[in-house]
Amino acid sequence: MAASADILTITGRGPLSSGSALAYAPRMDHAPDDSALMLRYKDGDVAAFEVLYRRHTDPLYRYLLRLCRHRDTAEDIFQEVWGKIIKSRASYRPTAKFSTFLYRVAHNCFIDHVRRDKRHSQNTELKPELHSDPGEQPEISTERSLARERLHVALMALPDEQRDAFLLHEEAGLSVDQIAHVTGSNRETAKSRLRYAVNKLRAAIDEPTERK
Amino acid sequence: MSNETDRLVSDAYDELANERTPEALNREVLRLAAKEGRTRYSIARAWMRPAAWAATVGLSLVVVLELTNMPESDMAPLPESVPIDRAAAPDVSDRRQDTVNEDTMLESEARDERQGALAKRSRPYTPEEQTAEKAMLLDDAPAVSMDTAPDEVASQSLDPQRTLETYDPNDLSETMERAREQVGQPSLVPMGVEQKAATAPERSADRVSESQAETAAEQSARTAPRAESFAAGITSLGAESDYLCPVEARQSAEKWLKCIQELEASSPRELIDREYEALRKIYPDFEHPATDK
Repeated sequence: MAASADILTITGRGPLSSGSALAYAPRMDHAPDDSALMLRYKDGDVAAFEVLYRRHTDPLYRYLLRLCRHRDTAEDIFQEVWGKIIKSRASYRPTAKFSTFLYRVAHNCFIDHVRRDKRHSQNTELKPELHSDPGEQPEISTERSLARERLHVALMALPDEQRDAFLLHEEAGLSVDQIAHVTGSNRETAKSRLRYAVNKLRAAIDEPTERK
Repeated sequence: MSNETDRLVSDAYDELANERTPEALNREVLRLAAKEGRTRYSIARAWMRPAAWAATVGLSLVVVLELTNMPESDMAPLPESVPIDRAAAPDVSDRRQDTVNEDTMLESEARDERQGALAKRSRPYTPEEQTAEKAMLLDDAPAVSMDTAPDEVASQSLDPQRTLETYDPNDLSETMERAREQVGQPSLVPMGVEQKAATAPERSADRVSESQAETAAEQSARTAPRAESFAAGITSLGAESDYLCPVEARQSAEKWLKCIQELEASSPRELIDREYEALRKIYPDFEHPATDK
């Protein structure tokens, strides 16, 4: 999945998404780099920012949505994150990958939100959108829907640090080192968090099969 | 964590996570970005560069057109502007105006002279002009040899018809050849003196050789003022035949005295005395014991 960061979606879907509804295309040579777009926006080019925003909006939204587990909170943090990106354009220096910079801001905003809101609880109001393929057999469709629900429940049950590491890996396509940089931890810690998260989710997905 | 496990979890997550950012949220963020991003400078920058280019091109065209249409007289530097306090002083401005008027008059006179010369050249030569030009080519006065008779000399120099017949302004070779022939004659000393010398047959033995004559001519040219005064003195005394010493010897008091002293032994005394007298008259300032006799 990390290698898929080199591809660019043309449907507005996140770069790490896959499926029959998605169409991927190789990154065009003339496609401007994220840092270049940010620098153009720094010089007053609003259209460059819109391109940059469309490129990262959905993965960031899903990251915050599953990290916060509350839609309204995720939208507030989402606005706060982009507001900070917009305001920090004057001091922006392309020293690191833009996505690393973006998700570090989002992670910090989430941490600030948790510290501000003591009522931040483990309960989630987020429900998985269960949809099925019309041409799929009913038994298989039901099984896949149940698997997605179990994955959702397992993901919401993960500790915040492990869920954060997994979402950064899946939505932003960050490597272990970049996850460590975003979360402010060392590489081994980030790697351990990611491994625990994946193992738990794998266990949740495989649970019915093991029962058989 | 194997890649296979990672891929299975990732595929499952991708099927689960299909949420899209609400469009209202997108509009809000983009509105904020547009509000913050469009600074006053960026708004001005959108039209500043084309406007600067247009202004530069326009100004360049105006300057080129002005320089093209400007008459040449207007290209001269303008006179310095006079400060108000200096302009109030009438004498300075009047003097400056006089200088300007004087310069203008001189320029107009020079222009008239040039135009006159051009007009003169454009019309055909008159006989007088042709004669004058020929005389100028022959060094103003035609050289006359000692053998030439005075009447012939007069007829050569005063007969314009003959000059007109023989002169061809376009054929300078003939003119130069004739001038060269005349220059090659034995003597080119001033005309009046030479003519008188030529008319005295008893003085023919004292004729100098051609080289001596040329040397004398060059010397006479160098001492032109003295020769003129000398010629005037000779004329007042009488004919050339009255003197014992030749013309070359009489050009300086010392030479003349030396010549007289050389002739004292072989010449009659009265002739020697008369020569001394002539020496004293022509050179009154020359003091020597022999001349005081």
